[in-house]
Amino acid sequence: MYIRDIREVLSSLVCVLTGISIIVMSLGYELGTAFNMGPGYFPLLLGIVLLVTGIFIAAGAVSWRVGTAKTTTSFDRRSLWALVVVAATFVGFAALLETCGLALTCFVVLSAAGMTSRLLRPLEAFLTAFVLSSISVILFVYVLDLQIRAWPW
Amino acid sequence: MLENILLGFSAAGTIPNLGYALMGALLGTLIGILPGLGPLATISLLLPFTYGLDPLSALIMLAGIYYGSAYGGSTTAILMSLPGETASAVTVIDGYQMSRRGRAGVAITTAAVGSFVAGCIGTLVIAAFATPLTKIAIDFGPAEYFSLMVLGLLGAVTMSSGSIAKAIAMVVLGLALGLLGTDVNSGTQRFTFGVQELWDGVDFIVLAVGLFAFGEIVSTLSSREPPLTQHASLSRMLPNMEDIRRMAPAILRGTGLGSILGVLPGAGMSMSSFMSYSIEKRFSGHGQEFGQGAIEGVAGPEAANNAAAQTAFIPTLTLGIPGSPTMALILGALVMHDIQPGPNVISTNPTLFWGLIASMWIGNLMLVLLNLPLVGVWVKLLSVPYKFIFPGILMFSCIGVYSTNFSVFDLYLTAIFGTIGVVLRYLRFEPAPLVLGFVLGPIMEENFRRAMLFSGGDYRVFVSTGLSAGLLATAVVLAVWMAWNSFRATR
Repeated sequence: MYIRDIREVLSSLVCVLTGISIIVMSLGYELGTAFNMGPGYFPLLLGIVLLVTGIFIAAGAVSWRVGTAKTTTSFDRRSLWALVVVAATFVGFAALLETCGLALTCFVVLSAAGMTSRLLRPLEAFLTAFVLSSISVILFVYVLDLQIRAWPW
Repeated sequence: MLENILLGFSAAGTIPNLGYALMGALLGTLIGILPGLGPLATISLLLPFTYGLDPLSALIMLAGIYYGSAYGGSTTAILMSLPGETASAVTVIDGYQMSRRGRAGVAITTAAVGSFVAGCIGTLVIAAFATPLTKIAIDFGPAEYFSLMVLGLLGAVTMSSGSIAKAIAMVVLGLALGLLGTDVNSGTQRFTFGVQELWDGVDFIVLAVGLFAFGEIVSTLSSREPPLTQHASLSRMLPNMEDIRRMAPAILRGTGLGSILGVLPGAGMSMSSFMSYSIEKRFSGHGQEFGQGAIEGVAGPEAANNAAAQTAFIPTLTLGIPGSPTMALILGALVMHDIQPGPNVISTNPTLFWGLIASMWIGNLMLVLLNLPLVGVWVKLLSVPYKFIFPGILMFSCIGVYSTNFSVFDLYLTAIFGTIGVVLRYLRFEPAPLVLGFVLGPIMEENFRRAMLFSGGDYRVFVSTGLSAGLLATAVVLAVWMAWNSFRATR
């Protein structure tokens, strides 16, 4: 027995584990009967379907014939870095917005994202961030009148 | 029928009203095109502008805003892989691929033309069949709804270009995510992990930005070759004869499907574009191109969605049941202008009813007139180098997510869903089926519960009426066909 593709094994694992957690959590809610369903009934069914699907995926991921395993994952550091940059932008935006206001938040977060993405040179990043943060304040705070704090004071 | 339509047009078609329609369409498009601000946000932002107008002018402007915002959502879906509403999650698949292949202009034009044709036919459908279509909506009991959703979700599975099991897993995961929050029947908090901010469930925009825009930025940033900059030429912006020949049947099929499904409150509008996509993939004869920029994959779903958006006015007006949050907003606006929805709305207030229908058509027309010239502008945006664009997409996404509930928690949640989305993408799961599951989750559970309650816990209720049994039978045929196809593919 060998593994055809490690990604399929991981996929199956994701489904099986999620399915089991849904089942376990659903059992914690009142199940009720088919006639009078509680909040746990439908989620329980979903959990079971997900679990079964996960097993199906696993069945397709392994082969019983002799062969060479393809176990390389291609998740390189570049993708990981891009993920960190984008996720950090959202988190940074959330962390700063309500204390620093929209203008400063956009400027700081976007210039950081621009520089760390390695696509923009520092000056370009600052300029882009400045232009965008001006647009956002004018558009969202003054034109559309959204209830967003614009300035730190 | 003809005199009714004429009555509507004579009421709605005055010069100032046309001006309001144009202004509504313009404002709707301009705000709807901002990434992260979907139709719902756009309409709630612009609704106050209509307060001061007389009822009919307000409705006409609202219709303009409605179509403008929906169209703006499709445009961001095509240009930046950022769907503003459920239906645009389908447009992303092939529209964004067309855009990456330098055919963004064609995709946007197709969406506009498809929407316009669907809007025209949809208006005629309402005018001719409003009363019988209301009956369909009433005939649809919980069992029929459940069966229809089973069929729709299976349809979403067939649209996936990868493994069927994975698409099913995504649908189920989406359904479970849709249940997240407070259970309306018992007040139980489900899957909230004790986090108070999750009691109301997850917002669509959080999921859409997390699964689509977030993932797209990550994958573009991590690709080795710099993203190509497109230089749009006018000739490549417009569909050629081949494109038109291919999109026409897709638009007509989508319109037919959407007109019928739109009547069903709740499930209909979101399902129409997904079902249209899977139908096009099966029957357009270019199935192998789907997922790589097939024009039918944009034309069909866009037409279906717009036709459904049109006929969705039927249950909203005659039954007072809004089919979507957007419709609920419009219903609120109608009530504010003293239009009481109900079975008698057509007879008691013919000028307003037919005026509304005429104004929907005018709204559609303005949209096309306005947007065909603007296509060039949108496409020009793509010729800006990506390194200057992605900070903008990030910014608009953050502000869009935040402004839905003015809660920073939603931003953290977007980062979490985005990360999950990247992992799922890496494992070759596709996000679109998840989105449909997410939207249908609560409706499906509700109708499942209700059907079982009516039948006394007897599962046979789903095959007891011809309609429900027919829908389930179609679903079974679809499932068998899928299983057979994948069996053949592995041999």
